[in-house]
Amino acid sequence: METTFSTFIPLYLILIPMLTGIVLYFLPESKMLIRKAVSITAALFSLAGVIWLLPYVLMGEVCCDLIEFMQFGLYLSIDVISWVFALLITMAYFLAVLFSFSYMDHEHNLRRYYSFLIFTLGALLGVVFAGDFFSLFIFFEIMTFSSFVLVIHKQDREALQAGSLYLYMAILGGLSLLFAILLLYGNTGHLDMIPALENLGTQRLAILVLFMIGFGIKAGLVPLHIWLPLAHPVAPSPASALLSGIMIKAGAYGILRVSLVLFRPAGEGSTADWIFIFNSGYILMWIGIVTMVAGALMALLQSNTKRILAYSSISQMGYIAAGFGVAVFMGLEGAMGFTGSLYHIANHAVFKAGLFSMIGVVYMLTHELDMSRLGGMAKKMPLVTVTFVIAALGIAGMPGFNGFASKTLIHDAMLESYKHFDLYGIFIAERFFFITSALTICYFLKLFQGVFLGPVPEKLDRDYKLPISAGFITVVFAALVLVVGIFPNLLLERLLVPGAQLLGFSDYSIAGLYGFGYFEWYPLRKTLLVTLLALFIYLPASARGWFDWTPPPRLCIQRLIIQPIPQLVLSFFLRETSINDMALGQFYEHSANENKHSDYYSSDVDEAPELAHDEAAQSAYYMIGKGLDRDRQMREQLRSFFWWDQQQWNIKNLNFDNLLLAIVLGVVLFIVFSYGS
Amino acid sequence: MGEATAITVILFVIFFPIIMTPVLMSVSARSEKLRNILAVITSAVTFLAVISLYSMVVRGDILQHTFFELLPNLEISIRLDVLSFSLAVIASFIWFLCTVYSIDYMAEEHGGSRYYPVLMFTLGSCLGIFLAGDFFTLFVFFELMSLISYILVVHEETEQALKAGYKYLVMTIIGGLALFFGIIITFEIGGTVSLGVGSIIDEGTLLGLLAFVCFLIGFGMKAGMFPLHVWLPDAHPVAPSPASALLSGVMLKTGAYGMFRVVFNAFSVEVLQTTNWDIVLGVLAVITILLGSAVALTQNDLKRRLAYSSVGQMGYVLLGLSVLNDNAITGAMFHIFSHAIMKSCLFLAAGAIIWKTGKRSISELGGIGREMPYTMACFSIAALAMIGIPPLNGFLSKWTLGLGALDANATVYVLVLLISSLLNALYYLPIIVPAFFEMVGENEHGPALRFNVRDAKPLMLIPMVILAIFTVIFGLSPINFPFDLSQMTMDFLLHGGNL
Repeated sequence: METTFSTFIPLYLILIPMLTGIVLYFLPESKMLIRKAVSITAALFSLAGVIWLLPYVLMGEVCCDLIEFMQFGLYLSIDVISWVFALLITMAYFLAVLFSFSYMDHEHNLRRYYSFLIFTLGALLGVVFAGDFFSLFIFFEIMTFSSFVLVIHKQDREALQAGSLYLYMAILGGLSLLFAILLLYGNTGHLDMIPALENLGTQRLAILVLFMIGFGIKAGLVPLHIWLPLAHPVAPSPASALLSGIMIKAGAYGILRVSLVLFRPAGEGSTADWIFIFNSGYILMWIGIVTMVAGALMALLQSNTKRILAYSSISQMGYIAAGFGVAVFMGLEGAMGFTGSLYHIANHAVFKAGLFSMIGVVYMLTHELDMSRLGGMAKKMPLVTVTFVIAALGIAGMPGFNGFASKTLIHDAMLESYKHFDLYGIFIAERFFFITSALTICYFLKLFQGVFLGPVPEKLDRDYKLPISAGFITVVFAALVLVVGIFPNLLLERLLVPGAQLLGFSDYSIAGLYGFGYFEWYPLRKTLLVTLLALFIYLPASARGWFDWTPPPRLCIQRLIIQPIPQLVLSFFLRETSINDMALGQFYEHSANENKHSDYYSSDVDEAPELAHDEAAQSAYYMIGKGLDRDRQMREQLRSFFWWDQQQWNIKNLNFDNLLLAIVLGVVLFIVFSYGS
Repeated sequence: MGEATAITVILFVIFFPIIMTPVLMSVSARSEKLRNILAVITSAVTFLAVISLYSMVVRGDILQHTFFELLPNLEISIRLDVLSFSLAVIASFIWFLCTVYSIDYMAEEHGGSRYYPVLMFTLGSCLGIFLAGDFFTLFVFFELMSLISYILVVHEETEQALKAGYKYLVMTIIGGLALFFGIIITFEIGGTVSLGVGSIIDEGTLLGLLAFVCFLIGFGMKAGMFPLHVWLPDAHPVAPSPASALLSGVMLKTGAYGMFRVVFNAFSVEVLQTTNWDIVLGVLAVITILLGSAVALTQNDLKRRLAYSSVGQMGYVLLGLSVLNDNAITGAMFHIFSHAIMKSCLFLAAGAIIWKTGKRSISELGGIGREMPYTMACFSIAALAMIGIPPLNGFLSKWTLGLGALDANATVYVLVLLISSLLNALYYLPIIVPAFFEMVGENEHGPALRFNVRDAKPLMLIPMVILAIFTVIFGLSPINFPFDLSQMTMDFLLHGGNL
């Protein structure tokens, strides 16, 4: 098992897409055919390379040590877990590049688009291939910047605003990550991804929190998610598919490596260590629960199709975080939570990239994203409708589709931990899980009804010709959803269980995963209940138009916290420093003037001190006045400095729940608690 | 290389540009073209001569040569060690690139016949500072450079330039006086001011503290340290852009170099750490970093923003110097290199943009990236390096400084570095992002052009491109010449003794 293969293949897999990306940038705009051929070849090359690595990865670890690079050495290593991520990335990339061929034909600036698309592939592979946190951080930052260009591809005002929020939050996350890595290095003297909880000393809480902020921003965990519903929908659809399907997984990957690898005791671990682990896992699980509920609720209230999908991504990341949380606090028994989450990462990549592509196809043909102006597409695009239904059933977790495989595992892991610890909090968390699954069905019903059912609007009543490549990729996505869903144990036993073995879970907890009973009465009954609850919520709510209700802007988290607090801090900080700076300059000037005056009146020595006093008082007076002026100027500058302006709070772009929603949630909860089990 | 040859080379390096000054002056009356070529050749030859000293430095040799004594023990001498060499090589390199850049830039400006001779004279005196063998010689060249560069500052002869120049002159003279006072005290305590005797002041008396404060004022003034930075944001932006690049990229470093010499030669690590005077430096560095970065954010003038950014970045160097351990000194040294490369690249690119468009205000520069792609690409790479994005060189220096701060258990310093990085991002990204991505309207041929300018001429572009490539190479590449030099310097200063 523990064989190590030393080879440069991982480096090539990273470098070739990156270099191809750079070369593509210098290819003239007109050579479209060559551009497409080169891009798809690069994507295929990566896919083939990753698949070629599989036998080696199953036997052990593939690593590549670049001692001299960046002076501190880059280290790449691929184990089964990294490989699963790499496979997802390259597969989704292949399909997304294929989709771009038809989707992007009418867009501008394709040179930039393809070049950054392929470049980002290299950076993404770098993130998952990284063998230590230093390398991971480097590729993570490169990925942030190159994907920024994809986000703002449209270059209109909306895209630039979303992009700048994304960029600044990503930089904040990157710095928090850097701080965590520096502290880690300061405490342990290495940056390897190995269990090191004992060596982290008293700063371990700080390190954990900083890591979680850094990766959580990328993964879209509440309350760090605010950039996501803005940034994902504005990108071109293939890029949205990659952003939502793949790139947020880079954050999940980081959370996995930190919480399940780094924050584990290298030896037996003392009781205090295990208590720390339990608490961190428990909190992570609750963050996941909050994220999944909030994401699902917000998805319900949107009318923009891509925005629903973006909120849905947040919600699904909540499932993943919750699964990891369970795996963390279960300690050595957490194999089920871990495999559930890893499985869900894979499944989410497939169905979310698929859904974005399908909605992208609809947008490509109709140029319409708003559900109120869409409808009846089932008659116009039967193929897309069928694949959409399959992918939606996948995300809703219906038996026979892939989401079921992973959601059941996460759910069972939660139940198992409830039995293990008998904590009422876990029971409540499990209830929330249940409700969120129902809400997921609700918002997909809403989406499906809005786009595919109902009368066709007059403006869109024409014949649509589906490009072959677009049709092909939607079918591939749907087929993947079905294959995994029908044979859920295959992927689990071949790939995910070896991954769990790497993390040192106990044999007992791993043994439970072999031949896991998916198609037994218990999980099926749960699904049935979830579906009933979903219908119970959906039918009356949609009949009365509750989902069209818009929360008042006052309660928006962005307006309440994310915008004013940094603004206040920054304006205070800037005001103080610039007033100090000005005052200092004036102090020098005035003292120089006084000297000059003293010189003029040196014959009249008596007068000089008096004059100097006058001068000093005047200058103080002047300085205060100037300071106030400056203060006003600063406020005005700051207002223009932040790109989002306050007047344009459109009700549709709000992104957080509010008090009334909490009350609605409470009522539903009450029903479920008294009705379910 | 023998010692005699080395002495000759050092003398050549210092005096060749100075001798060329009158030559350039007389030539410029006849042919501007010849003058430009001669200026480029002068800086190129100087750079090559500095490089030729490498073989001696890499062996770890130290050259300390006294020519004569003015007074007993007050000598005129030269010195070559790895610290001097590092500074000299980066200074002459940037100088060469800026001279090349000047040819096209100054072609449409007035006063070229004054500009080039002064540029060369400043190069000679700047190298004189780095290669001086004692504080007195250093002081002489320091004053020479400061006073001569006044002419570069006021080159535009506008009212604003004259005012900024006056401020610069007054502050420089005050700084020079403080420095001179510091040297006198050092001479009084130790009986010598030579850099070749190691720690001159070896106990922390009150007089020693006075000397430290005087040095701090003198060199800190030049390095733009709070609260003595006020001249810098006025003086740097008004100069012609290649001169701004040199002022910010190289001449600021003379202050940092002086602080290195004060810490390691006038005093010693032990003295500073037992007396806790290094904390004074640390606190000032922290204030400098935060103030420089924050005030830069409020500036709307492109070059002024860059100048304030220099204040903040010099704070990094001083911070590393105050922490005084292996990683911190390596980081500080490497940041001298990094900052010289990044900031000159930024100033050169900004100069090209201002020269082409006539716009200095950042809010007016949206869309410039489409019209001057190469210039703006260089600017962006250097700015990203400034923010500290891996794998560029700015990240490497920040990382090393951060490790140094953590080795000294000063987590708060790391926090300061990161806050400053965030502020850097906040003031550089609003330049870059609109430059490339802001749409200024469309016409039938695609995006509309706002300025209708073409990219800068090759002679202006090449220096920028070289610098931009260096920011990447010196971050990523396994063969990292500046980093090796920084490590050698650190090794020499902290572990190799001072002799």
